[in-house]
Amino acid sequence: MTWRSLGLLAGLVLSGVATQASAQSIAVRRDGQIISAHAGGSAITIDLGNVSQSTVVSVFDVATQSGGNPIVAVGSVTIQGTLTNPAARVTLLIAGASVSALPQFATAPLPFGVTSLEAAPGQAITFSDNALQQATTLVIAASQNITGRIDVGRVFRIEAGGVTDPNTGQVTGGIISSDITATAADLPPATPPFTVLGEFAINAIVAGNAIRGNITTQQAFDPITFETLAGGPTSQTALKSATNHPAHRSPKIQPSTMAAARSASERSGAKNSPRPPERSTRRIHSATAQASC
Amino acid sequence: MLSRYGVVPLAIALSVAAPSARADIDPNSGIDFARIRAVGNAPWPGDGTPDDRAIGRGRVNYEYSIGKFEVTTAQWVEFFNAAFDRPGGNQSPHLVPPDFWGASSATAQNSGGRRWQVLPGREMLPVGNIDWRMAAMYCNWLHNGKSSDLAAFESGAYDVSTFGYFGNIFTDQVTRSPGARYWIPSWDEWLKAAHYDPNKNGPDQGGWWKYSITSDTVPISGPPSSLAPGSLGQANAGGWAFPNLSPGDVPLGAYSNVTSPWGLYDTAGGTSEWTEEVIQFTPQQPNNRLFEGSYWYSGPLVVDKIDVFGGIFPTYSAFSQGFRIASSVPSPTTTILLMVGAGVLFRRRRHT
Repeated sequence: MTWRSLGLLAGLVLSGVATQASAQSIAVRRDGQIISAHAGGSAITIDLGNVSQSTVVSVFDVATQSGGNPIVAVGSVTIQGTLTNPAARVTLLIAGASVSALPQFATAPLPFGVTSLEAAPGQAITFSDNALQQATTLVIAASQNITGRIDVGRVFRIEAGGVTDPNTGQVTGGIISSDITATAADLPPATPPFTVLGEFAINAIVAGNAIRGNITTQQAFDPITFETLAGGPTSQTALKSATNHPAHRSPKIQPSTMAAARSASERSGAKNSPRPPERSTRRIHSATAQASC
Repeated sequence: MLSRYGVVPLAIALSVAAPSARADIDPNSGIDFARIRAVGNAPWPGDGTPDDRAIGRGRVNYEYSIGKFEVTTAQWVEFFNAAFDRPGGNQSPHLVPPDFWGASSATAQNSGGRRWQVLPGREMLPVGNIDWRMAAMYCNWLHNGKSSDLAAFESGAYDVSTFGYFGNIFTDQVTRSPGARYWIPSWDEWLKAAHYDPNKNGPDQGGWWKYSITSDTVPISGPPSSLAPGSLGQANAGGWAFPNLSPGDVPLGAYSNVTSPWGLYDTAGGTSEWTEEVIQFTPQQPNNRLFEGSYWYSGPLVVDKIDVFGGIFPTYSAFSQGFRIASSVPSPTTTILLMVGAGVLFRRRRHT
């Protein structure tokens, strides 16, 4: 086989992948290269093999490649592989195709990558390797809903947008019903000269309508773990098993047991109407065993 | 003693010379203001960074004042005591006491009220958990002379009756009311106060610094050397760790040699700071309020670059969120100098 024919073959393979991606709607990209394509709504398995260095994996509706809105959902996402280097990190981005890395603020909205992540009642994100799970930071930007359990090392941002009816103001979609658990600890900052930055186990979870799942940090001691704008009721939110991570210990300036002091009754009393109850913003802290709402 | 004719040049010199921190505490608000001049400055021209939304911004065609410090614990306690230590629980629903500040609970003076106190040494600690609406109501309260009337919190700079959501789109008044004396800075005002240097390229040769600490290089995360001897830290942000010292223990202004060109402290670090700007990051998402600057406990300091900003809905009140006040109120120093200058000119005119 000549180099020319080899190149032609490679071109055909690549174009085949691209064609497949266009037709089948959901593409998987790893470190800038599309590695597989899938039908909309289907469950996806991504085999990362041996992960010896940090890698970025993106999942998106190909309709977002041209800046458009997603038109299809994705089913459960399974990540296979083995973490062979403890220092390696995995960034899993289920967001618009233009998102190629973690943004600088978790509070900034991202282009939606899929309409929904639909895996209920099963597991939405699954890892074959526990170390790989611990090393993964997750971003989801869905225009509609997110269902199915999510267990991942850290959550940078999860958003279910929802659509506001311009006439009635009613929000369609925008519901996170997943139980979400960040299984890794806060990523500690470095010692002097402080060139490596810290990262909280959960940065932001935002729903345009409602959050109905349990949100849990297992090993974190964040000053704050997440905040939501939720239209409907935000229920069963719990933060558990905080450990006193030395890098993010509870600040001394605040009242002790901050979340406990800010009891649910206090919050509801302070935040009752006229602030629209469906728009109340919640501050949840992980320094307590339970902060149910 | 200065001659009567020497006062005017002094006034001009102080108003035009390199911006620096002065004791410019506004007696009405208690806020230490820097006066931002260089009216009609050139906007940020960009530095080649793609998708730089700050290009063309930062030009301000009027003088204004802006707090040298983010809102302090002492100021927020005064505000919250006025708002919460009221009989019968007559309190605004938009105001929620923060977790991240330097105050501690105190005995209320009114039945059904709540009260806080600031222990000595904690007055200048930053305040987090401030959402945009709380910041707006603080402006109202200052505008109305810190009146204890509940109406003083409701209007003046921003009409609280506009606060709400239509679906997930906020309906809040976008910019300050005409005649407001205190307000949340516009993005242009914030950018200019944090990044524009009227003398960057020589006397009266203005220019822009990429980072808000009068520098073109990213600030160094770390505690201030005053609390951690030997530290090279320039900002209370980035998730630094130091034995027996928390980012929450670092008062505003502790990085005494690290300021914006106009003498603003903690533009990098402390809390992120709200602006009035309404920003839509993607066509699919609703509008957000823009905020600037890195924040304590976490957050990379690359966000202190002029083209980087955050934004989120106005009821977001995470530990990271705070602000600094802007105002039309001239600093007392400026007022006095202008009065003296006017007097001298008047006297000179009478003698000629």
